Amino acid sequence: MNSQITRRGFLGGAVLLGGAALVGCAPDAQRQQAASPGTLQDGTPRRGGRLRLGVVDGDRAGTLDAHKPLTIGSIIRGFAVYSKLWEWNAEMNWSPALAEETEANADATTWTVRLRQGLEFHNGKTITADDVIFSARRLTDPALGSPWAALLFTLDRERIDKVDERTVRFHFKDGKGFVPFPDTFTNFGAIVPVDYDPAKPVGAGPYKLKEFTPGQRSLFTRFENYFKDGQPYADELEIIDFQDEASRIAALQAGQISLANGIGADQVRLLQGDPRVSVVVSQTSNWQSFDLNLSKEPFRDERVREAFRLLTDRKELVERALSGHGRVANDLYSPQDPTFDRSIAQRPYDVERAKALLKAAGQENLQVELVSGEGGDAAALVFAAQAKKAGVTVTVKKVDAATFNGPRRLDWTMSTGGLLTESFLSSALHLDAPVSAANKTHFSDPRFTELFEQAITQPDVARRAELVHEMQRIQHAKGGLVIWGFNDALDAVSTGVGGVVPEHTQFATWRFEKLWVKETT
Amino acid sequence: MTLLPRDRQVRAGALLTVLVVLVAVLGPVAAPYAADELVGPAYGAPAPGAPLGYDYLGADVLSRVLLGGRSLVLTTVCAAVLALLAGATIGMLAAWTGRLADRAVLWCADVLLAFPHLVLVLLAVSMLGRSRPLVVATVAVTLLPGTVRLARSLTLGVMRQEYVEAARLLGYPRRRILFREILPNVTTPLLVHLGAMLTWSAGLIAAMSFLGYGVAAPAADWGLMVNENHGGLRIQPWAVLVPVALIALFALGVNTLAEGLGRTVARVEEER
Repeated sequence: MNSQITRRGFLGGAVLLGGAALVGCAPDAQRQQAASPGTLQDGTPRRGGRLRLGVVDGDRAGTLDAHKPLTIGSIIRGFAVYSKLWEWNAEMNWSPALAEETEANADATTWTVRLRQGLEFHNGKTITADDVIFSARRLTDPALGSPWAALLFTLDRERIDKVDERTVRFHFKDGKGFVPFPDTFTNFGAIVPVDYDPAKPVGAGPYKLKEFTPGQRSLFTRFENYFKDGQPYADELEIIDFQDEASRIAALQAGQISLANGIGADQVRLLQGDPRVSVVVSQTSNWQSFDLNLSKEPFRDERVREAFRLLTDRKELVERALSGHGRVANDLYSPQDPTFDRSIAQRPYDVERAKALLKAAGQENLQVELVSGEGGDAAALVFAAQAKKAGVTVTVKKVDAATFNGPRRLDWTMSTGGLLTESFLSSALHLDAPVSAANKTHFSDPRFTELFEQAITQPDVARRAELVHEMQRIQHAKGGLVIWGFNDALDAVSTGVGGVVPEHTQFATWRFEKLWVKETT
Repeated sequence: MTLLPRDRQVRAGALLTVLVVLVAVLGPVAAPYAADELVGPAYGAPAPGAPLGYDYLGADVLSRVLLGGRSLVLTTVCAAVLALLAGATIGMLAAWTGRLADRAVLWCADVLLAFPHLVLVLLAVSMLGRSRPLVVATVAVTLLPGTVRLARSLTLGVMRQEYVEAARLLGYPRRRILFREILPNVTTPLLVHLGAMLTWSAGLIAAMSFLGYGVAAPAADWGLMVNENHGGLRIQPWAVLVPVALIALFALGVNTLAEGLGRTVARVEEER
């Protein structure tokens, strides 16, 4: 029973993260030069004013629940209200936030976390170990039904020990090690007080909630006792929901909002000539893929998989499907991870070899259906045109998000895919690790499994890298993910706002504590 | 026949309709590239060899315009004609048989009429798929109530005419009365109604394509082109404006033609 819930939840998490990954990419436009930190960091942070962020969020119900944000708008609002034990740094690696010190034991079977001293919630209550334990249990509570609970599916929620008022020790099920604990807990592990009421949310984030009208707007005021000294700078933060991109961009150009996160690449050219707006380009490792189902023909045959990888013109895909706002990938995820194997040669674009492999596999004149989810159809159509050159007929079937992520999600023979930047082990947990639930490719390899089980209990980066390198060679040679590109995150920022700098994350405009209003009007 | 050139509205409508139909029917022969060929930069501006520029993926807009009308025109005409044939038959039979059948048909037509057309079509397509015969059938169903009601009221009017009474008294078979006496006298207004149906049908089918429920990419379709390229409207407007203009001209042409024909028919009847 439990395993089934975990499996479903885990998939939900993967799907939502995947969906969020697509926020930054859209149909086409032209390349915009990355805004340099120098041009955007100008001036000294000043206090006062109201930051106004526009988000495109179709969720009219909205939510502020710390552990159950289901749409991009809810996740962003969570960045204002809540703080976590760890946070993502600009390189998309975790670093301590509310935690002062965190340590795993030798085999990562326990993680000990000590809170900073003197931390406070918005209501003035001191943050203690009890709050951390309550938060971890609430996030993983089956009764709450958070899709993100699955990211911590190995956490033993009955064995979270209070060592002292500021220290907590986490254990994992069956005494198994879990190296990516901070990665998985950082995403949605907001720390809330033991008497938390989602109807009147209290957190330890940079802004306190003042007003919330679901589907329309939310208003926040500065939290004076935020744990980062001197921050946040603005008096108020307003997050306004938009139903479509065009109206959001118009509002930005009219000065009604000062920030628009994750804009479509096709909007970049529009904003290029506007002196009041800059586009901040953050080079992320959010990846885009075509997922080949290894349990189905024709992809059971390794030669066909290799042929599909060879006939993929990755450069053209980045140019056309990402409007040049991205970079070519080599069928491997997490290049930002220190364990990533950079010695694996880039797979070339070689239509002739692809044709020869298909012929050898007896798959000339092959016909395949490529199922495309929301936001993936541009890449799918470009790929279909590329496959035609190798004699492969790819029929693109565009389905809505509910169908794409519905009961048939693991049955598609070939489908579009992708994920946000995650560490190597976290990404594997989403997609192709032996315990992953969203294994769309149905990848399973005994040696890969063996190596994964060793890597997940190996906190030492150098030793883990050896294991990961071998895993990546297996993925590169035999896997089912045709990872063709990494997309940039594009944020539009009014010149009246300071503090937005390009990062290797999609969070440049979500770090509300670092942003300021240059002129108070 | 000699009436057509005399009426300016009919002439203008016919000219517009013929022009758009020619683009739709002969366009595929003249298209320089296939619908799925990516030959230029995404949202590329008009250039030599590509007078309308390139679309969101880099396909030649002119080629997609030339290739994208056939599906719209064909589906529109098929749906409207099907609605006319089915609606006229049902309406005439309902009026002829009367009583319970007539009331049942009227009730069904009213129910269908109350249902928003676009919602009905989208519901059917999302449940049963987007095959062209299904789209034709569903759009025809949405057009049916108006046709049924019109055919029924026209038939009831004709049935009160003395020559129909005479045919009945003479003991002519029902089929003969229906097809020889009544049908010729309701055909002209029904044909005028066909023009109006073509306009509604074109709008509905283009809207379906725009919403992503019509023709699937990479096939070209004017409605689909608007959907695909509206994000770049301010960068490369031709990819949106040209298909929009052609859809509008087709609807305008057919509508003008229908109205002109209606007026002409009314004038002729007055003259009688």
